[in-house]
Amino acid sequence: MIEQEKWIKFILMLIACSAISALALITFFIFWEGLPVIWKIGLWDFISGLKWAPTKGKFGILPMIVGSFEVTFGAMILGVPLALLCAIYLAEFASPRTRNILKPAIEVLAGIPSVVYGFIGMMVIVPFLRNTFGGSGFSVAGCSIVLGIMILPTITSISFDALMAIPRTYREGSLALGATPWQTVKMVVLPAAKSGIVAAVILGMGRAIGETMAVIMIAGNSLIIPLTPFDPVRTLTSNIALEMGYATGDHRQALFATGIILFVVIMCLNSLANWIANKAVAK
Amino acid sequence: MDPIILSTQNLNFYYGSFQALYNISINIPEHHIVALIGPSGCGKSTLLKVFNRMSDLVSGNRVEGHVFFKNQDIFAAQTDIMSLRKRIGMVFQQPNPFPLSVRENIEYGPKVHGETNKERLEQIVHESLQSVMLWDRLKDSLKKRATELLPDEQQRICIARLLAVDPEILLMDEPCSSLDPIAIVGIEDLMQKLKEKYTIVIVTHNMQQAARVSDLAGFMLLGKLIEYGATAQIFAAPQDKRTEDYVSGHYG
Repeated sequence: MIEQEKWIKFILMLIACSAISALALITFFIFWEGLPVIWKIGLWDFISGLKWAPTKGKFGILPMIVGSFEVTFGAMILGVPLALLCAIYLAEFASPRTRNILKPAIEVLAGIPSVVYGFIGMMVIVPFLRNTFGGSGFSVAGCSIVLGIMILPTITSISFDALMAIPRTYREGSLALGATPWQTVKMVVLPAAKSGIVAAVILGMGRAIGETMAVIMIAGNSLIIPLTPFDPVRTLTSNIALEMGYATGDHRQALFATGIILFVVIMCLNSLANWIANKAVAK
Repeated sequence: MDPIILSTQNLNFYYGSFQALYNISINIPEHHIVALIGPSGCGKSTLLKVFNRMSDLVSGNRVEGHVFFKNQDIFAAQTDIMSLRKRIGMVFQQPNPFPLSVRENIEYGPKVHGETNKERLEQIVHESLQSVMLWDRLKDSLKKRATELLPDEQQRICIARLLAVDPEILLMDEPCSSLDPIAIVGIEDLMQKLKEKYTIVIVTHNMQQAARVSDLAGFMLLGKLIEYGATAQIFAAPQDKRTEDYVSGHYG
């Protein structure tokens, strides 16, 4: 019996390790493929270079770094307030019945394939931007709108959980002092749930930076630094997806190197989210 | 006899189809400590919650009869619940200071009721902490998180937080149930002091506590107010057999 337990423990450990080894392999693989070209060009020239011309051996990804950040920033501006207000409504004001309908509905948003978001963006948002603001419509603004909607479920449901974890006694204490429900939310519940909400926002940010397909379909993908919200843009992720199919040699390695930059950025964001979430638990 | 500040007339209270209070009529005079005693589930906490309409938060609640606070029916349509709760404050069983600093906890009430003057707030913090005898201990750590204090300090913060909005009645729902005996003595002394300025209604199932602190006591059983009168009389010479059995420890 004890012998059998040992075996089960061992097999479970192997399975757990295989998941982690997949991560390790991916990490190793992109660094293995991408580092030589960074070495060759120089890290600084690679991330600060303005020109991306693989056929001429020019590999500068600054426009795409800027593009990724602009698109993400726009998505946060649109998505975060919407998601937070949604979470506050669901957690604090909605009746259990309304909540039981709305919460699953918002979570369904997370299950829609990103290509569908891209398609809606192309058919609805891009023409709308073109007709309203001129230009092609394929733009930072278009991407931000679509990404803002895509990150809604992530931020809403994690913030919702953070709000629900706040003890009822805090709310009672506040209401019993004659505070209105909104004052209670604003002055007691939100400050208490701050860490959970920050973690939710950072995870949403990670999703927005990492999104590829929807962005490719709406971004316009040109290789310039977008100066207005209505300029076309290419992000780090779309650069990889667009060119990997035909790239060889240094070009191929430079795409892996783009992946390294993306990997590092998202790792930093996730660690930050975990750190903040742990800080919340420790309190 | 002091004037009556709070009273109920034929009060019935329901949670959905469950009737929690039956035909309660009680008069609470100003500047007295009134204890509500009785076994668990007798409705004493429910009655307390009705007094400042915290009972509104329970889904499916329904009220029949009247509750008068200074001759105003608190269930009348024109009642401003926020200002009612400011005037009739509540201390809970578990100390529930907000996860904010000591100062922010005390300032919370005045702020939600529109006080913005910094000096006035400073003064309120000082006076409120002084009233609960915490000022000397905490005056140098007003920035400390209130949730990190000792349990009885937390409960005092909760009382101070109420005093900061200058209420007229303090409702206390088993305020000592999570405190140690020494802390309990401290809170009971505090209640005696507060009685000079405020009216206190306390729910407790510690009969010794009721006997020690209260002027009037009401015994409740299964949602009914069985007997209500001077504490000494309730404990020494109860009129009702059920009260006698309870205070002599036959059940509860």
